[in-house]
Amino acid sequence: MSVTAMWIALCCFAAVMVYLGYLGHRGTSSTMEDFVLGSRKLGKVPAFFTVTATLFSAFSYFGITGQYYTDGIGPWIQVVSTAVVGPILYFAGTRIWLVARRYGFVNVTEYLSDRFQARSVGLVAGVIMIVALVPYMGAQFRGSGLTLEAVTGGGIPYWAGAVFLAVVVTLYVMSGGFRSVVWTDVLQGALMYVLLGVAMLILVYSATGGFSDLMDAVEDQSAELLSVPGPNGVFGLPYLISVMVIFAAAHFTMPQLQQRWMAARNHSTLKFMALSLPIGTAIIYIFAFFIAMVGVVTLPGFDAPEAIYPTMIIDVLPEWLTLIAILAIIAATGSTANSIVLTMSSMVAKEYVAPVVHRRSGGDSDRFLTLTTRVMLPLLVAGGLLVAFYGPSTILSIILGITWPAVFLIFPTLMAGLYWRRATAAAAVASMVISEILFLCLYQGWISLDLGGWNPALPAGVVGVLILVGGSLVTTPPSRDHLDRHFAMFEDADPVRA
Amino acid sequence: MSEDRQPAGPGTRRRRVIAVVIGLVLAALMVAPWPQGEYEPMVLGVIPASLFFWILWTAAFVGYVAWIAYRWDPYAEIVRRNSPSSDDES
Repeated sequence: MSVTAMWIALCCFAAVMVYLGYLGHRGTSSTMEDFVLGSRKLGKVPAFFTVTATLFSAFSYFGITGQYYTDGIGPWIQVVSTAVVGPILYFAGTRIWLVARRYGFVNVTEYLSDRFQARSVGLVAGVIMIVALVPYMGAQFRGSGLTLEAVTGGGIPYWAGAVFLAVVVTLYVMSGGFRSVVWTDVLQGALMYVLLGVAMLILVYSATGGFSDLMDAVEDQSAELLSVPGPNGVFGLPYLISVMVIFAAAHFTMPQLQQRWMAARNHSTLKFMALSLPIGTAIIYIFAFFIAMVGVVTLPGFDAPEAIYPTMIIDVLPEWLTLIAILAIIAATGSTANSIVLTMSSMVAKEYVAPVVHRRSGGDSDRFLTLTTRVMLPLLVAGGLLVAFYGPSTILSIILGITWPAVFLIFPTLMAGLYWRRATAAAAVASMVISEILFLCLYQGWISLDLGGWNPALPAGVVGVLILVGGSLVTTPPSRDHLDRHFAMFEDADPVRA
Repeated sequence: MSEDRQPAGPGTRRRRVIAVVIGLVLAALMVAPWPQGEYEPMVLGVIPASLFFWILWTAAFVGYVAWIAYRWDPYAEIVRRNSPSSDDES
C-alpha cells in the first residue's frame, strides 16, 4: 500500500479526531465532574458507542477472528460474559451510580476510599488498576505501530505509527476530556461496526458464493469448528465458566467502564447500557465469526491466526476501502487508549495528588485537580509508549492473561462495599493484595498446582473473598454515621437485602 | 408493579425467587450450551445448530435482563426518591 496515501488518510483521520476534541472542549468547564464525566449527561446513543468502543480494541477483533479460526464457535462465551454484566449493572450499578451522583465521585477508587473511610483501599485498588492498564494502553500504541508498519511494508516505521496514535489521543483528550472521548468514540465505534460489517459481506461474497456455500465448505473441511469444545478442546466447561465469571465481573469493575456507568444521564440510560452492551458485542462477534470462517476456507493452515483479518482484507478489498479499514483498526486502538488514559489521570489526580495538596495548603481546588488531570495525560501516555517500545515482545499475551483477572480480583471488595455494612478497610486491602499475589504465583507457575482447566484467578478470587469476610468479622468497620451515607438511601425498600 | 417495591411482600419474594431460578437456568444454558456436537442442521443455511442455540440462550438472558430492568425494576422507587430532578426519572 502506498505510504503517501496512508499518511494522507492518517492526517485526515487525525484532523477529524482533533476537531471532535475541540468540539468537546467548547462545551467543557474546568470542574473535575465535567472534564472527567461530562457533568454526568451521557445519553443513550453515545453511551452505546463509547462503551463498546472502549471495550473493543483492535486486538479484540484480531484476537476474536484468530480464536474463531483456530477453535471454532467457542469465543461466543465473551458475548455471554457481557450479557451477565446486565444484572450486575442493574443492581450494583444503580447503587454506585446513585452514591456517585450524591457525593460527586468521579471514579471507582474515590468511591472505595470514601466507602471504607480509608485512603488505603482506593490507593491499593488504584495501583492495581494502573499497573494493569498502563501496559494495556501501551499495547494499543504497539498495535497502531505494528499495523501501519505491516500494511505499508515498513514505509511507516513502527515507532512512527505508535507515536502518531499517542499524539492524536493526547491532543483530543487534553482538549475536551470526557466529552471529546465520547464524541470521538461515537465516530470510531460507528467506523468499527460499519467497516467490520462491510468487510464481512465483501469477504464472504468474494471468497465464496454466499453464507450458505461458506458454511457448507466449513462443514466439509472442519466440522469440529462448529461446536464446543472445538478442535483443540480449549472451550471445555471449566474454561467457559472461568471466562464468563472473570470477564463479567471485570467488565463491571474496569475503571474506564465504571466512569461510563457513573456518567449516565439518568437511570434509563444505565438500564439501556445493560441491554445494549451484549447486543453490540454480539454484532461484532457475529461479523468476526463469518470473517474467520472465510479464513478457514480460503487460508487453511495459516500460521498466524491473529493476522488473518488484515491479511484477507488487504488481498480482497479495493485500496480505498482497505485504507478506511486500516483507519478503523487505528480508531479501535485509539478509542480504547483514550478512555484508559483519561480514567487513569483522574485516578492519579484524586487519589495521589489531591491528598498531598490538601495536606500542604488545606484545600484542593477543583480547578487545580482538573489541571492536574490534564497534565497527567501526556505523562501516562508516555508511560504507555515506553511499554510499546521497551516491553517484551510477548507483552500482548501477558496483558490479555493478566489485565482482566487483575481487575476481577477487585470485584469482591467493590461488591462488599456496595452491599455489606460490616466490610472493613483492613480486610479489603488484605483481600486485594493477597489474591493478586496468589493469582500471579499461580499464573506464572511459581506455585505448582494442577487447576484442571480453571483460570488461576478463580481460586485466587475465592481466597480473596474468604479473607474479606473473615478479616471484616475481626476488624472494626467505619462508624454507623459514615456507613449511613452509603446505605441509608437503599434500606427502606432494598430489593436485595429485604 | 407497586407491589414489587414493598420490601417484604409475598409477591415480591415470589418474584425474586422466580428471577433467581430463571437467571441460574439461563446462565447454566449459556455456560454449558445445549445442544453441542450438533452442527447440523444449518439454521437458515448459515448458522450451525450449536451456535444458533447458544445465541438463543444468550438472547433469552438479555430478555431476562430487560424484564428485570423494565418490568420488575425494583430500584425504580429508590431512584425516584433520590433523584435531584425529573431528568433522573427512570
